[in-house]
Amino acid sequence: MRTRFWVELLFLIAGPVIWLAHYLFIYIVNALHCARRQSWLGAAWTALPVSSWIILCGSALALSAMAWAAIRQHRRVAAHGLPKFHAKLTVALCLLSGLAVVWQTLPVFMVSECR
Amino acid sequence: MAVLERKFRTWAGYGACSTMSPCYLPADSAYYMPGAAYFSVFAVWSALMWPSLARAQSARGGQPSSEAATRTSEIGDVLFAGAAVIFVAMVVLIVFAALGPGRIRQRLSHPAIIYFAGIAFPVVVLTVLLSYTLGVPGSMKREAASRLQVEVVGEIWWWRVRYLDASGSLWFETANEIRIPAGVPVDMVLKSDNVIHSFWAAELGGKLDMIPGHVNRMTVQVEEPGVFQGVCAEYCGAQQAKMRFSVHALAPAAFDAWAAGQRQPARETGPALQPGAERFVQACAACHTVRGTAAAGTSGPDLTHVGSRSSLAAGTLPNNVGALAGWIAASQRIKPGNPMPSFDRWSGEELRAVATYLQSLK
Amino acid sequence: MTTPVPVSTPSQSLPNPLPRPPGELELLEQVWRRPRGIRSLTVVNNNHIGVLYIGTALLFFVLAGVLALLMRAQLAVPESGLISHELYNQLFTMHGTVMMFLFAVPAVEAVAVLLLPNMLGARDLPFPRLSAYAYWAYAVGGVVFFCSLFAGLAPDGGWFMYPPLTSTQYSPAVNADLWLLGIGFIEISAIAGAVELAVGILRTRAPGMSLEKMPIFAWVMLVFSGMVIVAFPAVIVATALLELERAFDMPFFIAERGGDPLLWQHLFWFFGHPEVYIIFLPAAGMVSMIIPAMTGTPLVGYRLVVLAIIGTAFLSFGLWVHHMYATGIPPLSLSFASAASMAVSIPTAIQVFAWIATIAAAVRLRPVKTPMLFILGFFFIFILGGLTGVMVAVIPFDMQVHDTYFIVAHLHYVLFGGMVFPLFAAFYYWMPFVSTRALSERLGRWAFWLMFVGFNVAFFPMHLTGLAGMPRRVYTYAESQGWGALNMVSTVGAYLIGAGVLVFLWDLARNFRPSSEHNAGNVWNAGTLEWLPSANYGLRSIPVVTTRDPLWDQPGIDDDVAAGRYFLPNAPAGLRSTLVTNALDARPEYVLPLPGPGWSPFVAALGTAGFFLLLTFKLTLPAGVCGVLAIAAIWRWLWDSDSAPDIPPVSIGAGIRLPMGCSGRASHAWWAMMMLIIVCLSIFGALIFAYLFLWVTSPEVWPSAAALVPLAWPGLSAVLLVGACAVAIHAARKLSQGGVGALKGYLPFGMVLLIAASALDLYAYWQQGLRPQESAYAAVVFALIGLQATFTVLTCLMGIFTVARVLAGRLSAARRACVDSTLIIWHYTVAQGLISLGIIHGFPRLAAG
Repeated sequence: MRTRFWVELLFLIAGPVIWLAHYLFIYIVNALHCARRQSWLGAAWTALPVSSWIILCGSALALSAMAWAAIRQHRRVAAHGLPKFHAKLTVALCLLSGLAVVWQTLPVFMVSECR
Repeated sequence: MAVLERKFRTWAGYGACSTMSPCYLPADSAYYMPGAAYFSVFAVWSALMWPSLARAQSARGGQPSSEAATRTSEIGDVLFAGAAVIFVAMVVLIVFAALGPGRIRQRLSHPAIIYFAGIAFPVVVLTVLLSYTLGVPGSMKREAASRLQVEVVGEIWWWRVRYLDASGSLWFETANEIRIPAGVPVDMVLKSDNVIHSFWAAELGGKLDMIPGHVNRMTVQVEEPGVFQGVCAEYCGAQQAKMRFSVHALAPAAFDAWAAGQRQPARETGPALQPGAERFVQACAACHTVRGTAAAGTSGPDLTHVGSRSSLAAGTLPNNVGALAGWIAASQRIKPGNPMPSFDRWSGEELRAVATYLQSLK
Repeated sequence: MTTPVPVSTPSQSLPNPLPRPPGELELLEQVWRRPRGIRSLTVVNNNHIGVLYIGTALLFFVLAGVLALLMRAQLAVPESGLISHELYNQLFTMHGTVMMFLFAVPAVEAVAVLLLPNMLGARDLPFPRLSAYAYWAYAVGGVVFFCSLFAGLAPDGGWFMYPPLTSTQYSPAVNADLWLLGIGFIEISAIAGAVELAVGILRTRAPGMSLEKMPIFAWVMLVFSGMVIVAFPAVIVATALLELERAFDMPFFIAERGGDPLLWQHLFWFFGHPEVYIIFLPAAGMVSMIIPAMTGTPLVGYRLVVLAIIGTAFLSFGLWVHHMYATGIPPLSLSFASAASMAVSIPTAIQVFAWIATIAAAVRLRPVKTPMLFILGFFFIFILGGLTGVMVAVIPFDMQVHDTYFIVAHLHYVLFGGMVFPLFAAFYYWMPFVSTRALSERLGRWAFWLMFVGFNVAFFPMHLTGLAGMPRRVYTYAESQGWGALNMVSTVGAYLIGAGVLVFLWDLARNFRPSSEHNAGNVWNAGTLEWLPSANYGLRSIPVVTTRDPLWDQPGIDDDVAAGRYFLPNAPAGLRSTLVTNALDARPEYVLPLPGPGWSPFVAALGTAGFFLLLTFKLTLPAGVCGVLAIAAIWRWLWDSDSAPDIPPVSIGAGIRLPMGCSGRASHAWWAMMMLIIVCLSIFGALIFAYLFLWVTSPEVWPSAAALVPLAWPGLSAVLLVGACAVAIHAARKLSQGGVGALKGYLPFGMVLLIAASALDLYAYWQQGLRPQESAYAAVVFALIGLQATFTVLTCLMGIFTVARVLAGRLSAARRACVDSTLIIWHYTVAQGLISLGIIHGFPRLAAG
């Protein structure tokens, strides 16, 4: 197999890594918004504050990145002759992570951001 | 087998005698980042630091909407019912998988069951659950000025309760017992300046921590008058077990009367109670306050109207002369480690005098 | 999924022909012989360390269980005077701490140390002395830590040790320091074990065992190692910060000076939640190995299970906030955690249904043997615990049951059900691997039923007790609160569990006869490699694997392996060795010479344990002596590595000749260093988080731009750091060109630059009057500077060692693992220093501006 291990590893776990980055990102954004109430993060724009819009953009970005990773991995597996298992695992992890991203974005519409 | 032999031949090609052995790849400098790259990391990092945020006063705490007790118990019922159904179904499934007839076992051994029962079913159920439980009724609009504010400060194994007036300054202080008007929302402002405590009266709703450096707010609304017990729900040291409180919800008129009474300084003491009163001021004023006397210590509970409370020592003892005398004499044996020393050198007479005096402070 | 066609291998096509040369087997046995008598302490073979390790973990389980029985005795009746509050608070703290840190994680690591090499077709782990060191440090440190109970010095702040209760003001005595320093270094031992397991799983598998043919237990331990590497540093940083606060009054968690108690909680639970999955996933891996063996059919949904394991591991890192629902964190932030907590139950459900499907596909199940009985018990208990877990993931529900006995019930259902039951199944299942006799079926049944019934009697009522309002960690309760009857029932159940464990210990005493040479063999007719005939040396020859269950699909493999027909049937150059293969497709790459028994790991462990424990009691001189002893022992141990005379390439069979040992990016040492760098990054990341968190919560103690140190200071430090980096690069280039001697000059010069950079940064703040006790800001700045200083010292120690080896002639352009490892840490130290400077000097300017 003409591929470096760590590259292969990164593609295999791309989905969950993107999920974790997204999770930490949205947590920090909301925490900053609530800790600095007078900041620009709190300015409202059609019913949601800027921080929530940033979170929504983050979610869209995360889902796109997962889709890209899954497609890219399919091509790599075909090109390098890797076992199909690698492609399937990547896609499956992206699906699971994508589901988690969707679930953790839902609260933006349903829960108040700060106390 | 031919497959294995082919494999061996490929692997031999990667062995020592071939330049393709990974062990002879030079650990070349391409691996090490040149120093210039380090500077650019430093520069890029600095530049990417998020734009300055206005250094506004961080708003500590806020106002969580109080769980309407009915909504929480409704959620609880749904969770219990759902969990019970799923659990029974799982047990049945496992029994069939292990002991069932061949046809059923064959169906269950198909990977499809993992997709259906292990993925699809939980995804659907949890999506519904998440939507159902996240939609807590939005925070009640703050008519801050008109809502009663009760500041509860966690102390080392007792509760300091300070009622605030409309402007936010102190109206009166009491301890270990919180009386509120029924039928209207009341704000609990939860604080601590020592260790972390947690304020929890189960019948009134969930718990909220009292964390040094933070102010947490909780809105409580009790519909009907009643008495509710509470505990400290965060490990706060030796006597967390004996740090309890009670919440009394009164009809609004009764509450107003009670509050008016609490604002008054201590009742005048008759001559019979003078010795006790004097002994009290002598020995206890360093830590305790009785408004209207010389006692103005703040490290212990306010005792201005201690006689009218439903319990002593944060829910540990009943409130009567005997228990009070016993507490003064031997608090270290009742609640070992608590900051009040045992006055075990006092005579029975002294104890009785002080206890009777304090009991008179209704 | 199609059933794999059994692969029958005609003898001529196997790598090594018969008859084997005379004396080959004898040399192999001699080289791997186990030392006897007092020299038993020098053992490094995973077979022997593994058994010691499991035994010690079991000891701590029993000890912590006894503590629980004492606690239950106290709680059986209201207002009991049996146990004072002081003792009770120590008991529950020690019960939690010992169970989590001294039993659960070590037990699963121990099972992996024992089984993984054989399961993967390797002879030993890649760093045998490291696992020996990790074991002894854990054993000695753990026993001393436990004995603090007898001196009344045991920590009493809860296993989670929340400040400010555990700050100096409210816990002035040395008890809390014992936790912080005692557990701190045991965590380091766990990380060392994890790095070694990861390298072993990735690089020492049998040829042909590609990733998708690895046993599930190997997947699980690989993921376990990754989780330990990322999660444990968070608690190490938290522990260090609290100890710094207690020892030097640096107010990280003291609100009056800008600290925040929530900082501890975030750091602790960022570790704490993955910790429980670190404990559960290996147990789930054991279940995935035991069920196929007991049912005679391969695991259904192998790939889905792999997906589930990796998914669970990652998702578990997003759940830490669900331990903090009641702290006043904003509702939206809490909801993220709630959503993630629900998400993590999907991969768990995948695993459970994979197991159910495998049971349904069973070819042989009845009569149900003891391992399977424990597995069925695990299902019942763990599933119930998982369901209550989903319940407490729901925020409004948790606001009621948080910190009550409902949570105690939940956590025991998932931990006891999800880890202890599979562990006991593993004891019964793998006993024939380590013992001449299997354990008794009859006694096993008794143990199981006592434990199962006892567990449910003890813990099910706690759901009700919690709903009735009983908070956790209380040493007594009032009659009027009405919890007496439920508590009495729980106490009875707890003693039943105790009885079950006693029956197990009796079974162990009667039937466990440890032996690597004459184990009972494959009594279950299982399909994985650990059931091949093995001895001290592991396998006689390293097989080629073509499927997931080689013993089922490759008939005759056990005879072929034992006869030496597969790879590496000998001890080349009279050394212990194993085969290192490629991480992706497991093709052989080189032969790894392994060390034999030695005193240095044991002595180093004693020194390390002594250093930390003596420091707790502020006996600095004896602690220093122990520290020096540890460093000397480690020096001695490393002195011999990578310095054997050049051995010509070894023929392992089938015409394949491989180098003996390896340098460079493909070496196992390089991979281990890379994983260590991830640990270091995680430590650094946690400290950066602390800095930024404190800035968010306490901006008032952050300096204005005018109060900062002028940029000339960090500028100069940065130049020195970059200089040190350049020196290192240059030295490496010189070495590649054959100039070993150049290192003698370059490295010391570079070390001076590193020290100067670190000292300069410290001095810059000191001369301006900043003192670490002033505020949380000052404290965290000095913590960052201190971390950099620590790495500078570490790098210099490695640099000195490297120069010593150059002087002794033990380093060359071909044998350069020592330099490579040193330079990896070197470059990391430079990078960490630069980023640290950027944060300390750059962030306040940007934030204020």
